[in-house]
Amino acid sequence: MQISIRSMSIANNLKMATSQQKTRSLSLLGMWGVLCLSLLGATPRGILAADTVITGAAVVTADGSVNSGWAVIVGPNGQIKALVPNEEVSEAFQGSIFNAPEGSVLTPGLHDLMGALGTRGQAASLQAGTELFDPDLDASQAFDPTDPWLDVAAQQGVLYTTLAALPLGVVNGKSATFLCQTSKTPLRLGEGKQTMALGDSVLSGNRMPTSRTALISLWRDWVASDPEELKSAGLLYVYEGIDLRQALSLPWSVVPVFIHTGGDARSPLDLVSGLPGPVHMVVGPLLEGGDASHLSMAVQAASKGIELSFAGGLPAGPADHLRTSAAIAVAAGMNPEAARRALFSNPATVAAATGTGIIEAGARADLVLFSGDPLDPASKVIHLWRGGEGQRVAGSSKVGELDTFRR
Amino acid sequence: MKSVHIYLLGFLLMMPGVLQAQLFERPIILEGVKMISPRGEVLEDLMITIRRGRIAGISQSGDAPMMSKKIAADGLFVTSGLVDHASVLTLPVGGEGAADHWSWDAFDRYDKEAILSVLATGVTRVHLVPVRSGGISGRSCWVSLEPAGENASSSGQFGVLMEEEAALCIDLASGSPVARMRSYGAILDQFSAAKDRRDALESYDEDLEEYLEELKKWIEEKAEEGDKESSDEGAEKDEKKDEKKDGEEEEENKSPEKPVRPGVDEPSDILLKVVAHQLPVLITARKSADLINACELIQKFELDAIIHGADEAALVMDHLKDLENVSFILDNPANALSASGPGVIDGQPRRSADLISVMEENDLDWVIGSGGSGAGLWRMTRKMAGSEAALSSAQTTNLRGEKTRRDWVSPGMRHLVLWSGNPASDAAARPEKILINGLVVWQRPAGTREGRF
Repeated sequence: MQISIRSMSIANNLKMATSQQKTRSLSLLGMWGVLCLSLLGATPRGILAADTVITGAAVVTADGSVNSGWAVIVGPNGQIKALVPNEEVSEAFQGSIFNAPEGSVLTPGLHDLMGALGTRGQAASLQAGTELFDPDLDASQAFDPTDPWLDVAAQQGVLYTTLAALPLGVVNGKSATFLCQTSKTPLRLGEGKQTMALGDSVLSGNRMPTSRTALISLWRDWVASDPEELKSAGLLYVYEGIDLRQALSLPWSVVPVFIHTGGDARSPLDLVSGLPGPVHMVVGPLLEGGDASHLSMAVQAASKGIELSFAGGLPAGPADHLRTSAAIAVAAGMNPEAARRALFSNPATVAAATGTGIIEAGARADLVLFSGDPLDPASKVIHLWRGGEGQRVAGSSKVGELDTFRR
Repeated sequence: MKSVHIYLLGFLLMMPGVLQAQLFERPIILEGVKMISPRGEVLEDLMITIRRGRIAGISQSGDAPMMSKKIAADGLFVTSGLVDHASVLTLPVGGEGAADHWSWDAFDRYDKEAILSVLATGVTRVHLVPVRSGGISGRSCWVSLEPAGENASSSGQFGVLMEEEAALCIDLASGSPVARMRSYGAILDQFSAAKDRRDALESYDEDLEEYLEELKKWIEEKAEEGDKESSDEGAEKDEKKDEKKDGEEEEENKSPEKPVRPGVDEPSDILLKVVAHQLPVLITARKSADLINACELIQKFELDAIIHGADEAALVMDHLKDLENVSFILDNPANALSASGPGVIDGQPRRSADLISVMEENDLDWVIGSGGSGAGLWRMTRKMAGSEAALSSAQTTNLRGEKTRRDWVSPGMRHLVLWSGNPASDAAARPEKILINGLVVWQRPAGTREGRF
């Protein structure tokens, strides 16, 4: 059974979720038109009986906005096949239709960056620094797919974990991103990125460099040698504001992602925002009663156009700490769209986990259905999909009120 | 009649402060604001008039009074200030506690940054709960986070005491299981000792009267004995024979012992106030065993109680339902994911996901307290109570049968929050201005100033 999809009607039926988004409807209209045309092709395509259609929920898109009126078609291969207007999903369709409850929001999976999720809580299980330049180290060596916390985290909507070695050397090997699913075999997503560090964590009394001056000198010499590791964007730990400032003084051919999780880099933010291309920075996690200057830095960075991602901290942190970071940032003045990007699409870019963090054709169908806006602490996880495989999360007593699932 | 006017004029001239207040205090106007009606509707384009710090009128149309002072509020959503029922704002946490410790003494009213960060989230009243390392922590108080001091607007002080003694705080939740058992035992001993002291105080007057009578008798007896001794000098020869008997009679001849009045013991006096229902107790208990201990303590000494935490309340509901006149302050501590779950034997309390529903099903009064500074109260309330009930929960006091509704704006209110959107429905709504007593005590910095270095 096939249902014809007319690309023109997609644009005609575009609806904005909130009044704020209406102001940007024209630009989004164009964007969606182009997106859908590119996704669906000019010729009509259809929904196959083997597909699963998730309908009724608003969808968080790559720009961080929440758009209602769209259904997500998940193919049998565990990938998103297309987004179509809800009206195009006919009742006559005999496949699986998931009718999401009113007000619910479908998002990509949350992403725990630089935490210890998947290491059975052993954050220090992968240490760098034995060799100062160790590009062959691979953080995947620390991953244990049988870690039970992977499934526990998934229940909270956290579907990805990115591990990185402790930043004890200048070059600390590649990061590794995995799907949060407790199983015998790990599912790695992407090749990861080279991790580097410029800060006090590299200093040691037992080996070079023993001082910051020596560290900067090492960095300058290394950058001048035009190493292979710097020809693509890596992840650079710059914990303190001074680390970031000194990193910016180096001649980068490709700007790295700045991992600034806890310090106060407000003063060099203008320099960061002046760098070419979209600059990514990992901040946080932001905690209740936490460092006000770091929060202020994050809000200001977002206002300057720096693309943020919230660092994780599971399993040591609270289960919902990623969303709490976003809620705290929004309450402090961050734009809600920027906060949603920091939760979903930006971490995927940071971790180079291709096909994740976005709801579009061809991406992995790792999806989370929240009862409302994920920025709202009142929202709960209702349902999740990992590779298109659905799992109910909401309590059984509430299922009847929350959603219906028809096969 | 004329003379009355003259006297009145004379009175006003003699009291320049009153005259100034009456004639020159300018009403404050909030124009174009929105609010939620008691029926839940959103009312728009309202004008709120504030006189002497309180709302004097709310109207949908009308002209601003002459000489009024306008505060820019067009399009903002007005609610009353949020109430944090368990805050440790600026208080030291940990260490030894005692009944005579008082949270107001420890409140740092000059910690402007911390207090403004809480005001910025819409919280205007806090219940300051002392938190120590188990046992009796001290007494709590209610504080309004308004500028204080003689010249309130420029003194740099914040915090006005609203209720001096709110509760005696007892922590049954801190420490290892053994430490919790020990501190519970110590609390029982302290209450028992206080009751013994009360009994001693009550019987002291009676004992004193008895003592005086006995003393009178003793003096009379001694006097009689003295008379006999002087008349029977010849009996000296027999003294040696009677030496042994004298030793026995020494006890009888000893003067009666004067009763000792119990000394001043402030901690014990405070416990007695609790036992006499002059002061409630606030017991922090989270795990089922601690909640059962709390129930036992409440029942044994017939206390008026508020239970704070109650994470595992659902497991011991039969015990909790037996209590009379008890309320709950609920919170949601940010526990680590790994602190409970697979493989963790003794982890965090097994908290019900729907704790509030459990409370409501069993007809138990509850409110929400942040347990922290208060800055996260609004997010915690939305998380726990849901988006629909969050606003009324965060504004309402509902403890021990005393329910104070502040979930819609009404005349007489002094604490107001102006939000960027409808806080009941918009998760991204945030406070833009906070007014207390007609004074803007906090407002969101304009533009990017907030993040400026």
